[in-house]
Amino acid sequence: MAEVWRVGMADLQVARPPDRLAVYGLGSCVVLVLWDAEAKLAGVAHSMLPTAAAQPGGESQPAKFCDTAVGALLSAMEAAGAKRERMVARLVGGSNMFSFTGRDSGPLTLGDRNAFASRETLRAWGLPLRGEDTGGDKGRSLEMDPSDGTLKVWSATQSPRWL
Amino acid sequence: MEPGEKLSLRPLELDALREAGNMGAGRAATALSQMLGRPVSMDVPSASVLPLEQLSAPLGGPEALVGATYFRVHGDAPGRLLLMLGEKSLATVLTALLGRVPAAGQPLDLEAQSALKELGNILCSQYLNALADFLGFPLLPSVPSLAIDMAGSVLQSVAADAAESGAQALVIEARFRQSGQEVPMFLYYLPEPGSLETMLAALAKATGMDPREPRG
Repeated sequence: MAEVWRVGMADLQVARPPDRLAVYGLGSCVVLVLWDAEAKLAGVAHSMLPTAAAQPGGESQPAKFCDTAVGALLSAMEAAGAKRERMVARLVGGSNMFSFTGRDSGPLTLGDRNAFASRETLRAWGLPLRGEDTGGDKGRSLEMDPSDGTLKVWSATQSPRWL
Repeated sequence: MEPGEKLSLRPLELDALREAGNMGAGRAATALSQMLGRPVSMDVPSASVLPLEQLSAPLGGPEALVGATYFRVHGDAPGRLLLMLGEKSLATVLTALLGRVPAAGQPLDLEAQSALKELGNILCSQYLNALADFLGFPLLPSVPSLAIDMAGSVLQSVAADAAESGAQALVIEARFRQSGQEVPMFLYYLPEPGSLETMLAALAKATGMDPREPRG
């Protein structure tokens, strides 16, 4: 029977048809989706913060950070039979739901910094970024279908769109 | 304590923190009763230390719509405070405050938004004042930030924001209920890791609890 696997914060998972991968209620976190069309394998990593090096002990939770999540998800995909040269990447999330002023605000929101770190790391690994739905001030949910690579994204007030 | 190191609390310490949360929630409930003109009860079911990534949505799952006011807390024990109301609670509270029912499925107008911010402001200030009296040092909330969105998205954003300053959080949860009606609200207090030790030291003094042994 087909299952929908929910990928929680700081976690990553790889799935093959008929199973799907999902994240419900995504905010400032960034979700990296990798897909190998030929192997029909999809991987999802759900990262909370931009860089592992900025946190003590960060290296022990690679999926938690946007930069280390790329290599970790790539390895998990390869271990399941995917080929790096066939993989394409998509990014979802990185919204800024709460805004503060003065001393409580930074020059860039956490969501922006997360998406930036993911993009930069994908570039460094040479993985093509084929779609992106990031930023804004609304939460998102997503479902990824490894059989045809369909990535469905929706918000509380918006109808679904496909990346 | 080194950042990133896991702090484990003794049952006695968790009880003391829960008690502190109870006092805060009690005063917030009193303020809410006055604002709504009817009795509101509250309880603090739990104080727990958990990795932030395990924060999960209590109100009908991650996609349930909530109204959330979020504060940075400044002072001797800086942290974060989040107040979440489910969709039904939003309607109840706005009806009581504005005398009208917000249109279902429509974005909230500015008046409703500002009423919610004000509600958050009053409840959270009362909560922090009670906590500050108990601990013996001031805790000051920032200007509130409001989001009407999916519960999971709200909690996830708060967890990630808190995670930037430490690896785990103390979560003191408080629930409010109105007599006759199931209108839960949830309040979470997330002190920063260093703040937890400051609070525990103050609690030890206030309650006569054994202070923590110095860590070597």
